[in-house]
Amino acid sequence: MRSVIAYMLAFLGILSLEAVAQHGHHGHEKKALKSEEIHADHSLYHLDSEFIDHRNEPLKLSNFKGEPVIVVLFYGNCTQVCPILIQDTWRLFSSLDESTQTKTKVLAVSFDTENDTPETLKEYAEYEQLDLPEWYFITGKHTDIKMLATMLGVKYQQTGDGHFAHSNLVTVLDTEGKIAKRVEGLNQPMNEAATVIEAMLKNL
Amino acid sequence: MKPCNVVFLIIVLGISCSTYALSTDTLTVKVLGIAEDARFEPAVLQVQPGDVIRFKVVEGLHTVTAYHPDNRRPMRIPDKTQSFNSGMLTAGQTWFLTLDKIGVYDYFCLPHERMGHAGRIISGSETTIPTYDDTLIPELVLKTINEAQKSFLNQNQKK
Amino acid sequence: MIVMMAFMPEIAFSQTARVVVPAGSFHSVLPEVEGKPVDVDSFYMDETAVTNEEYLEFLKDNPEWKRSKILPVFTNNGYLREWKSDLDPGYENVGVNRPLTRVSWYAANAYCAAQGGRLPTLNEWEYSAQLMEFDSAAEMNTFSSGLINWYSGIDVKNLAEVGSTGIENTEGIKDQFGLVMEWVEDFKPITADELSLDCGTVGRMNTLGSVYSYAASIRYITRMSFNPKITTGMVGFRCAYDVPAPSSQNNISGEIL
Repeated sequence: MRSVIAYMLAFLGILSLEAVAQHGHHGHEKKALKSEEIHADHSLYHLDSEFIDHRNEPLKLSNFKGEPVIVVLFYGNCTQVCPILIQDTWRLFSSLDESTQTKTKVLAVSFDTENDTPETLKEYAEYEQLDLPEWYFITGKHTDIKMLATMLGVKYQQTGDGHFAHSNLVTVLDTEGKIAKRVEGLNQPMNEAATVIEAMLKNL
Repeated sequence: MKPCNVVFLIIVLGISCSTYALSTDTLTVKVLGIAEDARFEPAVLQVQPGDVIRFKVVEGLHTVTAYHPDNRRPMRIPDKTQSFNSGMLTAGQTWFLTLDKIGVYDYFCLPHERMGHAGRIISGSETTIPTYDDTLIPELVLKTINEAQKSFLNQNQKK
Repeated sequence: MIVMMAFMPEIAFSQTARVVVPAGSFHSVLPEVEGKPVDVDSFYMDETAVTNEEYLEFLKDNPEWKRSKILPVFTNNGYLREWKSDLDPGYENVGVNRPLTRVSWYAANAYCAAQGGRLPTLNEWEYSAQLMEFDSAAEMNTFSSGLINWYSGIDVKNLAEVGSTGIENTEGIKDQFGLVMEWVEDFKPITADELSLDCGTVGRMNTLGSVYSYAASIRYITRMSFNPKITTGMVGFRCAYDVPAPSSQNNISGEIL
């Protein structure tokens, strides 16, 4: 029994360190999943998987190298939270200068690989009036989307009723695909993220 | 004109002006529910142009957003009227809206739109149903608005 | 005298059997809804944990996951640390047919994807694990107590062969206990988010009031402390699938002389 206690204490020691590290997320919905700590020094473009967009075009993340990218994870049947998340992403994008907008890409990736086919995503994009040249609604293989989400620190899990519980995160990638800014939660101010994007383009 | 007649005129005008001001009402729409139960009460409200509509959020997290291209939606408010969007409102908050132009204004709540959380304001005595384009509008939204419109008309016919 | 050579099948590569786990429900220590059992749809899962041999085949087809090539974004420093080289697990040190360990969640995910599958979800793994039959409550308690001891000291230098623990569930899935801990798709589950990871958590998890659930809470807490890049000698994995195995699972070639 003593060894068990020692073992538990050691683990709790490690865990409490992690719990402390995770503190500091403010303003997120009570029921949302906290996003994970991530290692921002690595490019997401190392993920070589092939995805497909709502125009039925295959694509790789590395296609977007060279320009700032806004990434958001969502799913189409989401009835409560994702509309706000998409609106937040739109708020960020539309707050950019018009010339900046043409040089910024938006990837809206669905983790509902079962329901959100390219056709469904096209309908979604059209209804939301977001079928814009800079916007890509994306689906792909379950394991690839899981990989991407894990690299971004987005947690999602299917609940019993076919819906998903998920963290809320809008991420800005720099021109090399490294995470430059994360805006966690819903209805958050986007001015800092917008500044980061504008600065990126000035340096090009 | 004699000075006391001028004074008399001014007083009469003043009274009639203030009487006109007093004739605008404040009407309340309650915003209720937290998920599938999210709704506006009443879902169809008739007002006079210039009336103040007070949206009172009783529970949950909602918006009051016009069906308008500014809000990335098809146009379901009268031509040449301004779009409106309350932004996120939390329980306890109140938001005010004034619609000066006669016509029918359809609006929705952003997080709960797909669950049918929508409403209609009829500004003026107009009660004919407008021919807004229903394509693309979520099924449950049309259901909410059309059913509420029906019972609204029934109630009015009874008067 | 005619000498006949016996038929000698040469097993080029033998894939782990894929076992069906029928749909059902179980009482989780971290349920979605308090008091309500968790439903799990039927799925397929590897009968045993992925071995070094199997992972070697994966590396031959996917060289970007070799130790010298794997990207830092997908692992920490200990990836395949005990292997002799990129393509040599060092069987003389570790033994044959041993569970693969010291791979990150990313590597496990990639391996299962390459097999046409995925990592099992936490609920799938736990549901399968508790499909065990005990003759009595006393027997289950003894088993669970043994489990607690095992969690406090997995001997990573002396892992047994896969399938050898003698622990198997009613469907024939082996060694979910007693060999290595295993990656799952969602090792930090939703319901855990609102729990601070402290001693109170164990108390709150132990809602089933049994030794088994106490052992489970140790397992959950350990798993929840992982991050996707870690590699450790006590964590391996097996894969889950939504479809049955393709008909030719075993490549057998041989000659009759």
